[in-house]
Amino acid sequence: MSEKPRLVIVETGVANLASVRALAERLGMEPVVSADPEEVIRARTVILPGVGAFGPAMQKLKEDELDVAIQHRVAAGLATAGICLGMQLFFEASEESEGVDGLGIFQGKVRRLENSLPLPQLGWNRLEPEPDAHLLQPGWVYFANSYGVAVRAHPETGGKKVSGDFNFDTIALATTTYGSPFVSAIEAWCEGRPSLLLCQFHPELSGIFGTQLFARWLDLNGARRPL
Amino acid sequence: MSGLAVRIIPCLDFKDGRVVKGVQFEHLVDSGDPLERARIYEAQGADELTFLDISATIEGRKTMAKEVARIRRSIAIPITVGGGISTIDDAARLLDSGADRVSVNSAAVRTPKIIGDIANQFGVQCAVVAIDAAKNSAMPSGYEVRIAAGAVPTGLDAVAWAKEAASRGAGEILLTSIDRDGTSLGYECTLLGLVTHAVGIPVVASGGASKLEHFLEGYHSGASALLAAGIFHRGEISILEIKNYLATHNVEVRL
Repeated sequence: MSEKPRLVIVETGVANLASVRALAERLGMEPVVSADPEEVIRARTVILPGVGAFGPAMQKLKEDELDVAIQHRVAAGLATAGICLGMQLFFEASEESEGVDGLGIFQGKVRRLENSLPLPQLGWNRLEPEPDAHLLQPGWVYFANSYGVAVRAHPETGGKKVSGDFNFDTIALATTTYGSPFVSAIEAWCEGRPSLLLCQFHPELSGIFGTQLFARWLDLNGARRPL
Repeated sequence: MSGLAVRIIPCLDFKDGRVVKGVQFEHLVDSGDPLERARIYEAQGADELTFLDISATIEGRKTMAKEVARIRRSIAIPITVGGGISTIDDAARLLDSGADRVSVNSAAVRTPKIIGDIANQFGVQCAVVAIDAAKNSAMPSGYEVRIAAGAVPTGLDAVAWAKEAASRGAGEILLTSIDRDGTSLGYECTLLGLVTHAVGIPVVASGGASKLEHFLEGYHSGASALLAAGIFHRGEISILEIKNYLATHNVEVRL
């Protein structure tokens, strides 16, 4: 009898998780919601979801020592994904909650999207991957965000500068334009695998496109095969 | 150019677990199984689904939460649920069941604090304020907010209320014209233009769309999303037809 492989969803206390659970189930995985740092370090595959605000989410992660657990597994090159706020938490700080330290795996600060358009950005927009992206593909994805990482004049300052303790072989971005361009996804590779996948959009709400992106990510990490 | 596609949203009115669609909030007609409907609309290219619970009983509301959970498991696009949400617990129960966003209507008028409570607890993008408006020349904007499924006038100006809702933390306004709902006459574009200019959050146009041109008019009035119900349920216009029509008029749509 074969059990379904587990996909650990980090409990941040501020996210409603039904849609992320449904994504895991569509991928043939068993969703396991956990706030146990040991489990988050050891798990083969982890998703850091995110709905809510930067400050309260970071506070909850720190209380449960999940911040260190996530940093450990990212440093070890284990398959880890962040969704929406779950992506923003990988940066050093956010204008949404001044004075709160993020996970700091990527350098830079999350800022309010700058434009005269309605905020939050709600709806489907284009994912435009850089030419060297292998996991991310162009397509329509669903966003629900007021904050993001701006694309600066030099791309390496917007989502490619990694803090000292972390090391990736390659990093590729996808960008999206809502008035001005922002970083909509990051794939970071370790030892021939795209171990880290960060999405500013919601793959769990992006129809077949989102499901297939996560299927490729799991398969390239060998996460749907038996150990 | 924003880059963002205008959303086409089929709305499913629920009563005791079945999809119904009224004409001007009366004369309800049963038109199908909700999951079956939701699947059809997702396959046709719906950008989002909105469910409105018009059950009058506690039993009906429990059925709604179960239906949301059942639909969530097989649908991979966003779901907004509204109707009868009067407390933060009501909102939490529907979000736990699988709604991505909740819309509050009468409760927001009676207790405006609920808007900020939902935004603070679940995020601004979760907090949709539904406004049912009817023409009333005594109002500064010419439109008055009504509650209790359109039955009760509130004395509130629709545009002023939309601004207050946005300032209290609403992430979106679902704006229904009671005069146009179910009439096939098209969106109430004057109202739509006034509200979209007054607020800095997305506005969903609702009530009266029956022809392809109506959707283009709604877009040109500033709506971020275009909602309809009866024409989809009766198969009169498909979502793809609307998107193709908008695309030929240089409107960004997800195709």
